[in-house]
Amino acid sequence: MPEQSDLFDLTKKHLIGRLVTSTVSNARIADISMPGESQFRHMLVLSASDFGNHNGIRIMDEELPFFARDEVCYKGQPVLAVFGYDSEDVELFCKQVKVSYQIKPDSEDPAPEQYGSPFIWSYGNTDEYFTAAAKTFRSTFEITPFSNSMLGDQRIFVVQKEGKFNIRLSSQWPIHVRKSVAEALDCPIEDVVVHNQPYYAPYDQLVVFPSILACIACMASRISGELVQLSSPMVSWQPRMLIEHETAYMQDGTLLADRANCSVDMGAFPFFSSEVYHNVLAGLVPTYPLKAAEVCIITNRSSAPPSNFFGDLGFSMAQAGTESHFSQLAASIGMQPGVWKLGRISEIGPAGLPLCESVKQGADYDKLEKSAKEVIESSWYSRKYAANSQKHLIPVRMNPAINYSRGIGFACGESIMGFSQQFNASANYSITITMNENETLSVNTGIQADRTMTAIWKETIRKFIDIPDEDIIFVDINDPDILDLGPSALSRKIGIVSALLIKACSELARKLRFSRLPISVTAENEAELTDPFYYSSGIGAVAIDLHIDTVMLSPIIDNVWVNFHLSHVFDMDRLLNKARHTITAVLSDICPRSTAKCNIDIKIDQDGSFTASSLTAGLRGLTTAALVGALSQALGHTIHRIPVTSDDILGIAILQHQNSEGGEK
Amino acid sequence: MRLTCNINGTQYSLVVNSDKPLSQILRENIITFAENSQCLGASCGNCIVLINGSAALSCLVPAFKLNGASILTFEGFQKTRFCHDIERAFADVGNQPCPQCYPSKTVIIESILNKLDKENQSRLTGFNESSASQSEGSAANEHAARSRSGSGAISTEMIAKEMAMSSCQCMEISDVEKIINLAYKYRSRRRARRS
Amino acid sequence: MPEGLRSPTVFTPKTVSEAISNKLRNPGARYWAGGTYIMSRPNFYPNPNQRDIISLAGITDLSRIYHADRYLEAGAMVTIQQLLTMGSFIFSKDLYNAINSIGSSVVRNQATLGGSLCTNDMRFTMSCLLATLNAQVEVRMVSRSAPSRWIPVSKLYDRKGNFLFSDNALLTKIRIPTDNTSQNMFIAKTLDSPMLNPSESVILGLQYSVNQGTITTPTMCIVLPSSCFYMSQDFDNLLSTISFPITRDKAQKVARRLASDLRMSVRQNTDQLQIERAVRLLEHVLYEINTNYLAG
Repeated sequence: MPEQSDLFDLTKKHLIGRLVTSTVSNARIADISMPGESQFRHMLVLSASDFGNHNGIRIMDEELPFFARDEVCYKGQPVLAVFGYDSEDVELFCKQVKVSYQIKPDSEDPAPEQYGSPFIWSYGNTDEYFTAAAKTFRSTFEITPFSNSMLGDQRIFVVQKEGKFNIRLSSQWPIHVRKSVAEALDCPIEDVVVHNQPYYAPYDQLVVFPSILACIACMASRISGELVQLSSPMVSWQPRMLIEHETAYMQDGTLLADRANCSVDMGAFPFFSSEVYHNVLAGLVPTYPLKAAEVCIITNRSSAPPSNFFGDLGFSMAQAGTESHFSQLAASIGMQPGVWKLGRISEIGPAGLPLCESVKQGADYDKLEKSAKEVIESSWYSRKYAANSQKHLIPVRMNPAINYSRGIGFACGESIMGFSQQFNASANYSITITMNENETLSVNTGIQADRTMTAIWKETIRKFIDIPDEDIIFVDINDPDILDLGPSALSRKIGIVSALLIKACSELARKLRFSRLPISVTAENEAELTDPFYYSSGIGAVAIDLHIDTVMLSPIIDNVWVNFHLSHVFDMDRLLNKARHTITAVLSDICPRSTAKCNIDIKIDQDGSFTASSLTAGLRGLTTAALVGALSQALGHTIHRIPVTSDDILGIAILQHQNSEGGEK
Repeated sequence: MRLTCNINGTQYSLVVNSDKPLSQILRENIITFAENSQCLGASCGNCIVLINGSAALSCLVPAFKLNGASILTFEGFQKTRFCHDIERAFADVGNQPCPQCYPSKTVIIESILNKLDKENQSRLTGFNESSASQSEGSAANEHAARSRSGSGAISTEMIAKEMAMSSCQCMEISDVEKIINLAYKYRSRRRARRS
Repeated sequence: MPEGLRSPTVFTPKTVSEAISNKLRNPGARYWAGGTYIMSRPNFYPNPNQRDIISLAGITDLSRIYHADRYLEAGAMVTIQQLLTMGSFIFSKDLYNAINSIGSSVVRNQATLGGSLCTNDMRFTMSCLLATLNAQVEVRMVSRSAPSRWIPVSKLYDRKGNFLFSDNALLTKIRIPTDNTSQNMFIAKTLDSPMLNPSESVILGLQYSVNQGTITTPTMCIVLPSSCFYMSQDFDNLLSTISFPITRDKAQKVARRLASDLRMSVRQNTDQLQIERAVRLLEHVLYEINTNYLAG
């Protein structure tokens, strides 16, 4: 491949592009007026009509358009792309483009409508247990949309050389970029070369949008014949989720059955909805001994921007809702949530949790008990919870003179990763390894592996085949034979790839004894649709303590304790950093402008096996749940909705003051 | 206007608008692939650079103030041995900024180290108390006491304040303090070896 | 040069008179001090309606700072960091810390005193601190005779925080009294970031002394950056009726009075959270004063 500096020579004149996006949602485009030609010359303007019938990218069976053609579905949807030789000219031109809209009769923000059929899953007979139950407890948990707009710009560069489109960008799904460009511009995929750059996308904001920008930039490059640079601000949207749990239990606290309902607002263009069902299911199924469970999940389409993955497809928020529900249940029966949860986990016998393991398998519940115990001990959970509860006798807590607003929260559970086994089975996943004649090993996993990933896979391969590191070659993403295993957001550490690699390597090792080179082995996923949805051994516990700043009316996080068990950790320092960043990101997302000057204590242990395990999704869910629990105790008011802002805390303070009026002031 | 300045060791002569922010000059006129976040005035802190050795938010510096200036971006700073002190300290403490704010936090830490340097130099050259009028209980007394004690250290609150320039909260202040102390130690040792 | 965009002309006067005559000849031009506020506004660049610039950086008179017996006088172009360096010998620890808490050293190296005071629609920490200290500013009117006068900082703004002199004056000097720093106590608190979150942050400044168990000669200023600049002689009189120990009832009575005053003073659409924070901050400060007094 030619040097990038030769290909993308930015010192030469080139086109710079920006997008014009809609300022409203759910509206028809009535008119678009451009600034006068005398003011701006040499501008290239692209719209939906330039793409004909190929105005969009496809993600599985769903489509996401490049530009709004006649109607805008969400605020911020691209309407036009403007290219010029001068960036100031382009920006001024964009500002002077006037798009007039006609809001549709059902208003700018209509109620979400159901998308697809509800997903229903059940285990055992919940009706029977609900009838037999002594008591039931119900709760709701809502995640309202929040966005992070401080993610900066993404810039894409495209140049045509020898008939090929060379695209320089950062994407979590570079193969999708190639496919989308090939389809939109009607050219062979071999003519699309992606130079993928290192990226950091904690909100998975680089899964889909780079493909859209790449197609637009390639079209501009084709029309103009020039090097093109297109930039656009990155925004990520957490989808709205509403989770309802109802649990039936006996007088002595024995859990019987749980019913969960969840709705997920996927925004104007839902995609990967089938995986959303599986991911959310995994989060809704509790990690406690239950005899039956029933889950119903619906996805909605609305006028919100398309939602981002946020690192998983709803698992962590669903897990947060579930853990929060059981914390409230414990509190309602007069128990400390952390202690109650530890008690339930201790009841898990050698038979495990068949209900839970029918969805997510692989976790060692003995390790969960150990992690939970360690977190409860190191955080002094019991003493702090009791002391904070005593202070709740004071009716008005958030007083600038004396502050009684302290809380401690606890959560525990599994972590999952990747696409579900069922998705893998239906997509006929496979990987291929080839021992070439020159005794080098080519590995085709469909994923652009980074340094860590290649190191892990090389280590795995060397356990079966005696071959030096430098002779193991991973197929480039621009190779015609590259496989597509989906976005690296969910595939990179996908357990199935590791398992397939082990399968392929052991088969190759066997064949090396008697076959001539070259030898090629393909390992296919043989997962059945009846298999558990996820397989992961990551499991752990989190505790958080905080107090409320009674002047700022915002939480101050004091300490976070994390204890996690994983199968194999290749680079512990890197993982600890990642864990820390995940925790601080969650804290600032859930409590905006909370001062995260806290002490974070993370312990991770590993058993060395080469099974799939992941930390991030579970850590996100458990941190959220622990934070919500701590806030609820500190405020003396159950938190049913996140994020929690200072306005929310003010509302609670006013309510408490009103309730106490007539009593102590 | 014509702007002449030195950026990362290269002399440039550019024709730009007089009010164009330095952050946009770096992005659009000194065309590189370097990604610097564009919060467009929301003070994310990601555009921080060193201008004539002092840290500055490049989105707040207009072109007409830059004639003859020497500008060092993170890409230029990364190649210096001063940056290696900080990278070594990151590795030793086992904590480093997330990739999004790594450039800006590194430059902020460098500006704190420069400040420590200046404070310690004033300690070594002596504090000229007689020429300044001091009121009892003034900040100067405290400042002088701290300098006399030889700590030359910057307080945790001050570090938190400086680091708050970057809106990303990925690092604990206690770890940043350790990193700064370590980086300063490496730098002082190297300086001592050279002299 | 871009076709749609004009490069503003930059005037670099060397004296105040030259700056004023530049403005008279180019009424559309604007004075440019540090530029930190102007450039942080959304849509600052590129803007086809950009005004010409009269840069005050070259006027050495405006960069002088000196300490006389009873006051410290600084030119409008003195940066906040320079004020801090000079003031470390003069200011009380509390005042020094309050100024030191403005932004970070990077911002303080660039932001100027004059620029901080003259922002059109937002008020920031320096206005609060200087108003509390009863500082005065020299204002030169933009006219042929260019008369100058000294006015208190508190008279630069109305209750809603709007800058009253707008485009027709040039602020040249700031005079901060220093003769009573040993007798007076000074408290300054800032909640949240005024620059990043002006609709929710609060700045409070309070100067007072204590005589025979009573607060005397209090001067209080509360700034809500996007909505209010509150100073009130009546409120100061109320504070001066407070005697130690400050009970919860007394503190709450004062806080309630502040709440009702602020509701009448703020701009429309001011967040209730911001007013609540201001009230809680005052209560907290009163308890702090009480604690310090009782601790001796």
